[in-house]
Amino acid sequence: MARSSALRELQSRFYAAMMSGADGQACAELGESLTGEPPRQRRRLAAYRRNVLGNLCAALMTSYPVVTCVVGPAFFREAARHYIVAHPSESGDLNDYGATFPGFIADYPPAAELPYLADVAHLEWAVQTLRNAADVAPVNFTQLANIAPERYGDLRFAVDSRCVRLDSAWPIAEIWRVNQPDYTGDMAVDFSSAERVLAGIHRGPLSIDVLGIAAAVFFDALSAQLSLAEAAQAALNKDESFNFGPVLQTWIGSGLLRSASLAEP
Amino acid sequence: MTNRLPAQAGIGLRTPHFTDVLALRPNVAWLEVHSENFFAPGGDSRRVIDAVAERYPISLHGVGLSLGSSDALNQAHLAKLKALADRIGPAAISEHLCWSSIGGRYLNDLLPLPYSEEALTNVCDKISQAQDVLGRRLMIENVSSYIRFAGETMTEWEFLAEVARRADCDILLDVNNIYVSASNHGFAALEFLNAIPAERVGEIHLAGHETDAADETAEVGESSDDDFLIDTHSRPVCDAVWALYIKALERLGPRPTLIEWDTDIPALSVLLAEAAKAQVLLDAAHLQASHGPLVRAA
Repeated sequence: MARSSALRELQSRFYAAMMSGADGQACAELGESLTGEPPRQRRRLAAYRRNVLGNLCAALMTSYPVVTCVVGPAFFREAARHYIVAHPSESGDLNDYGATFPGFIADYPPAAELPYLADVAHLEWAVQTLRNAADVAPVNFTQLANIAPERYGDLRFAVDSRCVRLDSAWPIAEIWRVNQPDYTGDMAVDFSSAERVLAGIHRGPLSIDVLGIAAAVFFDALSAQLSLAEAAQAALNKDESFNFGPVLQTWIGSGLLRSASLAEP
Repeated sequence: MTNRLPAQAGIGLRTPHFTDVLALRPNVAWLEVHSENFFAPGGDSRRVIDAVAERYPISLHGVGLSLGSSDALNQAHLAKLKALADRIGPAAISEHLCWSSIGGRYLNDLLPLPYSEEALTNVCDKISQAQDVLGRRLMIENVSSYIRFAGETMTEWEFLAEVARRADCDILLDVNNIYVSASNHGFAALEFLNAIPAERVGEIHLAGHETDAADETAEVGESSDDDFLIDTHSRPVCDAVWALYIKALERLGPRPTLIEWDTDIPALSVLLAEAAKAQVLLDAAHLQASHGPLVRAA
């Protein structure tokens, strides 16, 4: 097994030198395996270090453009530096990097004054995942024609897998919207409003909708494979004026609900 | 399956040019993409690669397989590459003679290998495994480097030639990387070039580099009189690299040639103008190959 090999030792030392300070012990240890004088070694290793951290940081900025916009590039780069050391990349595809960044931001002390930032990051990762999601087969509701209307309450729906539901105490969809590159309107955001967000690509292009509390409960119940009657009742329990009919029609029309059947889950 | 890239000039297709390339269908012989940027199972990137693959021969150029790592080969990464290749039928697939991960943790950079027997055996084994899965030869590219390791037992060109022989793979010869490494380590670029088995070279890369000037970037404890070259892919190809490319064409004959530009990416027209320069030299090399030297050496 190659575990005690010189190559493995060298690559492990190189990794440590990249993740530690340029003047640190890890660089000195790697230096024993390099040609040239130590000042020159440090300089050349610093170039690799800038490259490595720069590439990973750029990947994070690509996945989290709104967070970058909110905190500014300098703050983001510093946060990224801490994140990269604590949460190494585990893929040869840089596009995969950063799934745990929202959790890191939630616990990153310098960002404590921006309590909404982690939820915004969650939304951004969801958006990135949705944008790369596999295509799905066309919506099919032909089976509804064979179901008697009095049995509609027993219907269970298949929800498009290419959507994400997020609940936040903050207006994350609004923050996302006003920080898009093509947005030119008012930047004022009412930070007192919690949001229940539904992001998806069921319509084709990305859509980020804010749901009312009853609609959110209704959607979550349908997603959990409750029957239409059960889901409607759960929503009515939250808001007795909730009218599920038009909401259901919209979701079927947009492709968010993909099929219906009477089969038990 | 063998390399089916035409021996003409191509360009690297990068995200800022997706829209222009799809709309304008520029007259370029082939396109190269970074394989990993098209691993996603759906979305815009998938639509783009499927559309361009219908129109152009595609070279899939990987940056993340980490063939030189002492870790086991990442089979999940390789499976994604194979799925992409099976779908679009690329004219060629290439990777780098480097490592980028250790202990399952990735630095996502093209890091230099020590030119030792152990590293040679390891990387040849990984290349063979990858070629077995992909069912075809890979082209392996020489990278730029800024450091050298103590106790190396062969030169970079000996290492590269031996990799091609042992792993039975082809070579993607990056002429800019030869120039950068020759400058950084003080060897003669022509010595490298002349040692490469010509019949193995399936593609040539050209790119721009920058000088890391010590009086601007050196920090405390670093050497302040050490200018060296960094492989940035951020600028036009420099005159010295064009000169080395002409030498390469003289020695190898016309080969598929790519202009790489990855940082400070210019307008598509600028990139195409660089490719046109390479095409002029390739046209001359094609003429020379079919008619003999156009100009007799004095």
